[in-house]
Amino acid sequence: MPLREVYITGLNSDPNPTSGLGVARSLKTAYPNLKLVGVDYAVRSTGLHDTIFDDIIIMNTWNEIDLNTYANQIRKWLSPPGCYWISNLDVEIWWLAFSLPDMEKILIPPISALKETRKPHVKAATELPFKIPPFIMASEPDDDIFEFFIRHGRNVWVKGPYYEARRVTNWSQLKAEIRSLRRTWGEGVYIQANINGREELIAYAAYEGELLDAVHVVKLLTTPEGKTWAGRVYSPPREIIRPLKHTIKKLKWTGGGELEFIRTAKGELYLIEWNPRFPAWIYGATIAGHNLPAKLIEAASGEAGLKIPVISTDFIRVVYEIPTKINLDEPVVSKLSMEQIHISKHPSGMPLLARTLYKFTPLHDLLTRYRYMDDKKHKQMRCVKTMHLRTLKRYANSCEKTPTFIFLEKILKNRLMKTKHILNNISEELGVDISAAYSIKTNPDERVLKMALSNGFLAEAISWLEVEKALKCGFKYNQIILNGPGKMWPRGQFVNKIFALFADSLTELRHILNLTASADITEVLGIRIRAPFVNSRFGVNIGMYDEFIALTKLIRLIPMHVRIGLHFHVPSIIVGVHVWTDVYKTIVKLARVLERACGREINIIDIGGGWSPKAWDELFLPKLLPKLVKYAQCNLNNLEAFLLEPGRALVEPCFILLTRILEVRKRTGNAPEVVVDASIAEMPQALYKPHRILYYDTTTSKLIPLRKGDGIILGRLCMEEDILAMDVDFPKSIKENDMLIFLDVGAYDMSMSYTFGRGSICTI
Amino acid sequence: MHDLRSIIKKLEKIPITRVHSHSNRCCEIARTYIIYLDLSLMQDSDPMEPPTWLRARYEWKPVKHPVFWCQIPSMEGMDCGLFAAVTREIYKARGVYTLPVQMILKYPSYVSKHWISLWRKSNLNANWVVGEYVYHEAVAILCSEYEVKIYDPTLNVYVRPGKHLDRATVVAIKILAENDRLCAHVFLSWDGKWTKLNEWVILSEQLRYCRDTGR
Repeated sequence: MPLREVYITGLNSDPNPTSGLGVARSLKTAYPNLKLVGVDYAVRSTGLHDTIFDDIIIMNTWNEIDLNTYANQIRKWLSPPGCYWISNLDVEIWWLAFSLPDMEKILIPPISALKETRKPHVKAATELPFKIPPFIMASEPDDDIFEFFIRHGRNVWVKGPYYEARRVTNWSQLKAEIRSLRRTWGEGVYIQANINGREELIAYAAYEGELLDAVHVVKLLTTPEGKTWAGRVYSPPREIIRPLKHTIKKLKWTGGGELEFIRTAKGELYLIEWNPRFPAWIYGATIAGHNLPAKLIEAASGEAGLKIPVISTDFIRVVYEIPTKINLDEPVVSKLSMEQIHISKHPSGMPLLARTLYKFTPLHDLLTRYRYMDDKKHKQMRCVKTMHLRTLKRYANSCEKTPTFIFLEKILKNRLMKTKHILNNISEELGVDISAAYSIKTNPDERVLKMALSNGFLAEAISWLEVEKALKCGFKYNQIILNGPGKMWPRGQFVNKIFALFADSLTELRHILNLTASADITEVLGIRIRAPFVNSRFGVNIGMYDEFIALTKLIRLIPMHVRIGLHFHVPSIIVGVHVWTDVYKTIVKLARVLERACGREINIIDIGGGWSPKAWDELFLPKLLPKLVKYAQCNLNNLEAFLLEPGRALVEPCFILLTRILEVRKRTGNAPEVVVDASIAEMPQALYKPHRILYYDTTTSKLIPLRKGDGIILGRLCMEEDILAMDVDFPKSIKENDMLIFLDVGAYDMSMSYTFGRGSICTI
Repeated sequence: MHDLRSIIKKLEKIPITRVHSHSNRCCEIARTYIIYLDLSLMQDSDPMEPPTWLRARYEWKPVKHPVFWCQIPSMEGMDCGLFAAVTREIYKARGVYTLPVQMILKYPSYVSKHWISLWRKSNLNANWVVGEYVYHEAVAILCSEYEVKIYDPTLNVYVRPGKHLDRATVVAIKILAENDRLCAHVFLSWDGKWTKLNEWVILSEQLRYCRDTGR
């Protein structure tokens, strides 16, 4: 069958290009007389203006395309012998595979292969030497997403089901990006952990399951969005190419393909994407002697193209101007600047097609397979144990004044006992005293402090007012740890010796040493350390050699009978577990150097708090803590005690906030907004973290956990930011005077709440 | 290939789109709502500035005519005629003189087939499409006594003589002056091109970027 013409779609060639132009240039190199027809969906798709195309088809935007008509048109265009279609648009490939599965001249993978390589959980990668970076679907409950977010150091990517990845580092940004990508692409948005390492790529061409050729590219330059701007072409490593061949066969792959992966410093390979098309840099492979599009056309048509020698193994992109083939519309000058109708960000209109396809069945089912995948968990009232539900119902029933914080005493008792029990076991096993000091600032409720004391906890104070509070609740001086930058404020007077005192700076350490010269004020004198390369306002920065030397001199001045401690506090809830563990190890290693430099032994390691309840229960106590203690034992000659300062991890789930619904705002075509009598004044953490929420129907006395949806819970304040929760689904029965119960308010929500909007100000 | 004259003859039967009124408070309130929405959004702007918000608020989609004012605030989309009609009303309320514009655009026929399908799916007659020729409406804004700018509210662009409009070539244009003071004029200058009023002016018949391959 003589080769006649090739239709190439996806021609945009801006800094975030599609691959059509690279495919066209590769084909023209091998087949100089081949007729190339460029196909795209907007004049703004820049590559269609290139003279390489003998003809161009600018179709309607996807919302103005009748898909059946288009399928018939493509069928007709490809009906003459020797005509082929190479699609370079992911969503278009899905549609073509679904709508024209019998068209062998459309050189794309079958729908079964697309299913197997669909992200984020790329099933086909199981036989390849890749790991999949941890991910969570955006349809999962917010508290699970938040846990994922903090465990990965608040450094994750929000990704669309086909295109787009946006790096996020704070919770409100994460929520906003999820909403934005859902608006653009529909369902299938997910959140993936960031993996540090070098970005590498494999591109290949395959025909009916036979791998025709492949290249391995290391990115040398990238755009701010991470797109390849320069690369070096290698032959693919054997450990990838062998299983890839096998997998391609199994998938019966036809067309181009690209694997995007990250090589970590440990040599692990993480697969980020498996794209069902050639990459945009494909001409870079062609100049390196691997003309993959030509190999594909050769396999399909049987007509061999010209071979070109290797010109260079490295490639780089350039930007230059060409005349347009058709005028672009001139933007109208207007006070209300609006994006042009054919939005330049996605000139090929893939979001429109994605949203159109979403309406299809059965393609719809395929595309939404992740939606509410944990429905079962919801049905099991996964957020609250049944025993607690009864208690909550009782409180909701009897509650007259709202908003009200309710203390769930039993939950705290259990958490304290369990923690103490585990600490004792590890203590016994490793022969080191492990103590936990309850962080008073997290929630200074007297009932909490007393319960902590009765369960064998010490108290950690950050001000003298907190010391007095601890004493009032029954703690003795020698059960108190004093920490933080303003610990003596407002009237620090050491009547008795406290258990431990940690200096936050060299200046403060000098001051404390002056005090110790005249009085025996503490059993342990410690220093808070700032680890090198950690951005923090706290502690002595021993990454600076001057500070390190000054510290060693001061440590030598600590009286011999006073034990020496080191404290570091980088909340894992901020930096993530991996970074936290790395910082811990750095601190312990530096403690060893300190020991050598000043000739004194470090006796106490205090690792602070900052763990989420879930991470504390599932990870820190059972798995991480024994390893941390052992690590310190291995590195320090005379480790006597190990201190923890938990607050949030213990008390966050132990309080709830009962609120009453003031108003239900039903909105045409949108989920309702509900106004409650609480606000960010009672729940200031609403801006930074999600809360699990229960709905209490006052008519039926039923308690229902709120699922994800499009509803919004507004606070009572006339402040724009007073939004207590977004993306919630309200039961139809919701009405004024019913109650919403916010869980997980026991930590900084309570302790940082303020009196805004109550006709009074905080009296200092 | 169709003969352009016969196409014009066929398409000029389409009456210029207007927004109808029930002569009732429902339409009066809705019209006032749209007019004041424009005033509130455009505040200190030059009154000649196009009401770009209209295109941001409404999609382009099939619409069943006649359309009454009271329907407009709750509509999701408008067709080109309705966009132009509402834009003219907005300019009128601002005190800017405008004239209806009818155009015949030439698209590759593979494009217009989809519009026919979409209109049929909405049980509407796609009589505004004849092969590769498409009837379209816009607004001529009178900038001085003899000078107009032509604004296309559907595409939110100014139409320029000799330039493409989206992917289309503007093959013919007619600026209508109906029973008003401009009837005395025979020609108006449109971006420097003298254009006869109330008559079809043929501009170009070629789609330069696209080879005619029968697609």
